[in-house]
Amino acid sequence: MTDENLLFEWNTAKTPKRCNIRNGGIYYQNKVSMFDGTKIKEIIGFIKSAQSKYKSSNIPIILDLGKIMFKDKLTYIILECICYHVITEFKRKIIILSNIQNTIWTEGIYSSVLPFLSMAKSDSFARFKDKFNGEIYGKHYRKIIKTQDWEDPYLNSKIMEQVDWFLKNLQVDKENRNALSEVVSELAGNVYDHVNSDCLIDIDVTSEYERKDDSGEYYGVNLVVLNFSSKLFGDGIRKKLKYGSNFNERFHVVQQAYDNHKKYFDNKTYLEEDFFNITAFQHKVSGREEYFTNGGTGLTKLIYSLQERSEMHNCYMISGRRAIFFKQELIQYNGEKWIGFNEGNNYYDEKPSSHVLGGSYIFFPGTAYNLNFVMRKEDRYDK
Amino acid sequence: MTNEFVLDFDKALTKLSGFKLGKDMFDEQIGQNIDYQKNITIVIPDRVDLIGSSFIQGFFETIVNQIGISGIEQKIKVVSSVPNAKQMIIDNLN
Repeated sequence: MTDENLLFEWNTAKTPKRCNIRNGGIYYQNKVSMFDGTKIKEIIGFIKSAQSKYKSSNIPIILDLGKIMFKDKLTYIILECICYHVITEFKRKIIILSNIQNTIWTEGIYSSVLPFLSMAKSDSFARFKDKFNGEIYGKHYRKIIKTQDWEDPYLNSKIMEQVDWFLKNLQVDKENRNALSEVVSELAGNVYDHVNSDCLIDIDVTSEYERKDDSGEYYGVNLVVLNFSSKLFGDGIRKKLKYGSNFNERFHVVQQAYDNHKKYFDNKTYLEEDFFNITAFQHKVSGREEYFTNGGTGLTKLIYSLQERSEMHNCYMISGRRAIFFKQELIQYNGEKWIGFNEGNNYYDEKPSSHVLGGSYIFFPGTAYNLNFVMRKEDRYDK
Repeated sequence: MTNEFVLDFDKALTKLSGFKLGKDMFDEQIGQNIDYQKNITIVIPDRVDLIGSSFIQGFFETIVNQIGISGIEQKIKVVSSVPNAKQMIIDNLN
């Protein structure tokens, strides 16, 4: 992956966890059961300290995570990226000791590369690196698209084809397959069009679960698409608003909306970059001069349609220090094809709902989507 | 000059996605030969069962600039195995 080093450069722990040698390694001990972004940030700080304190030795890092549950798929995928960077760039081994509990949102951990780091086998690290870069096996689809892969003019279509094929083998029904394969293909395409960096795609389809409150059976489709880059999701919009000219009609509306929203920016609950992020999802609004449209267009529509067919969902995007939560009731286009991300569906002069915006525990260099859907088993089989 | 265009691309593909692919396919296979004064037929091979919105936006960008979405509604016939292909295309362009 390109630029995952930015995770280390752009995240600094205020008080890095002290690192000492124990059991033959630079030992990190986790003491909480819910593993979320705060722990990711702490581990980044710990690794940075370890690198600085033991830079001339190759003592491994031991992450003793204990009995944990990952908050969601994106959390463990970011941990994978951190471990990959330590192994490949810092040339330091990393060992994970853990007893992981999963949910329908995180069952993919069983096909993750992380378990390789708990094995004492001689080829564990080689297998970790190999599998990190791609796998289509069983209920797991993993691919890293390199920038040079885009020399193939059909790559977008091939990604769509491959994801559809993967989901079809797991009996996901056609409508869901269509939407999911389009979401993945569009998100991967956006990375190349807007950022020109490598892109990681990871999808898992879970086994079947029962709910306590009814007799139905359910399965999960969990996907992450991310890229690392110094360019954040809303940067194109920010630059165009601040330095651009020759705006089309819709971008003039964006400019007026920006003026209307300035009074709401409080640097706590609603930030200027939140405005740039929600604007990047608007129809026929692009941060790029030459484009008729942009990557955000249509994406919210696809996510909405998947949410509509789901029993439960957990969908959000992070970029930099901010997150956007795709709340189903707040991501529809209004009559003029604007999304307000608020109860009044008013993009022009109302701030987005507090349910949509949030902070990210880590500063994420690039853009990452976590999209989880729980679907009914009876809808699973292809008709 | 016939105003019917049968799209030609990798025979293994059953899906079309990507703004650039759409734009390039239009420029290479249609751009110079299209007559906007007449009715236009675009034939998408039957093996294609899914068309992404980015492809549609790239492919139809020039056509929208020339005749608008109302022109597409009036003059363009889309032959495809994708159900309601023309309406789906118009929805994506609106």
